Amino acid sequence: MKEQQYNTLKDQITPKSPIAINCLKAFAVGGVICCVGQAISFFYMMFFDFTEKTVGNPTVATMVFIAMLLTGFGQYRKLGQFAGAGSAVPVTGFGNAVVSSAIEGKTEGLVLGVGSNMFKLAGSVILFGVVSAFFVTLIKLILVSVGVAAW
Amino acid sequence: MWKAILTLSLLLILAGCNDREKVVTYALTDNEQNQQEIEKLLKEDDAIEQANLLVIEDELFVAMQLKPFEKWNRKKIEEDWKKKLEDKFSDSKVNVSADFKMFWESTKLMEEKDQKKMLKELHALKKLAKEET
Repeated sequence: MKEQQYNTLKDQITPKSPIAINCLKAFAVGGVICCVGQAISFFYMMFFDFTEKTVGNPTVATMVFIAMLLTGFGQYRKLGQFAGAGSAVPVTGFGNAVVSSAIEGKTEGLVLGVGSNMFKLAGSVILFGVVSAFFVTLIKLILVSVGVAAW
Repeated sequence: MWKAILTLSLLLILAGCNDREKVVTYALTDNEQNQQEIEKLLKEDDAIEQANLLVIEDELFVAMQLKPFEKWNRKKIEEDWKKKLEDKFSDSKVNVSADFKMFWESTKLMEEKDQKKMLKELHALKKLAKEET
């Protein structure tokens, strides 16, 4: 079978994915996750000494923690199946990536399994996050020294 | 059925708009004129949704909530207001914040009766506003 033949056959057999509905689902679930995050940040501001400037860190930590618990209990998988990117793009997806790969490596032992697998996917998130943060700061530094923006 | 739902939702939306005035002032000072002037200025600013104005002794504390899209220029608006107020009232310590925390706490502070406690809490609030991380 030639490559082109294979491709046409593949296109015929693959069921069409309902893109619009998937987008809507992702939008709705992602929105709900962000709403929960906003509620948590209001909670920290109202009951603890956090300002809008400092509330980000505890909110993110709480969201990741909740996602990790849900992943451990097997609930986040269902959400991911339903919403796709809507549950993977918010920071909760990071917690899910860490814990699910840790669970995956459990059978191979604590060090070579859990330890080495834990950041298999999340490691690249951290790496590219740090690198892009560096470059964004560099750009901002240039803009500030030129006098276009302020810190 | 649909009419009932529509009416109910409309009522809920209208109930959501609270009847609080745009600027609420708490003043422990004799200088009424200054206070009214600031109030007028705050009311005229279109970027501000709601504001709390606290005038205690030589402290001048303004906590405001900006309209959603004005929040992009939060820092600039804060600085402009601070400068504006400092130019006008050079003898008082001016603090301007558009942080939700400051607005929330100052609303609670206004119900406080004890002036000493209030001043103490205001100082704690000012310290909190300076925190970076």
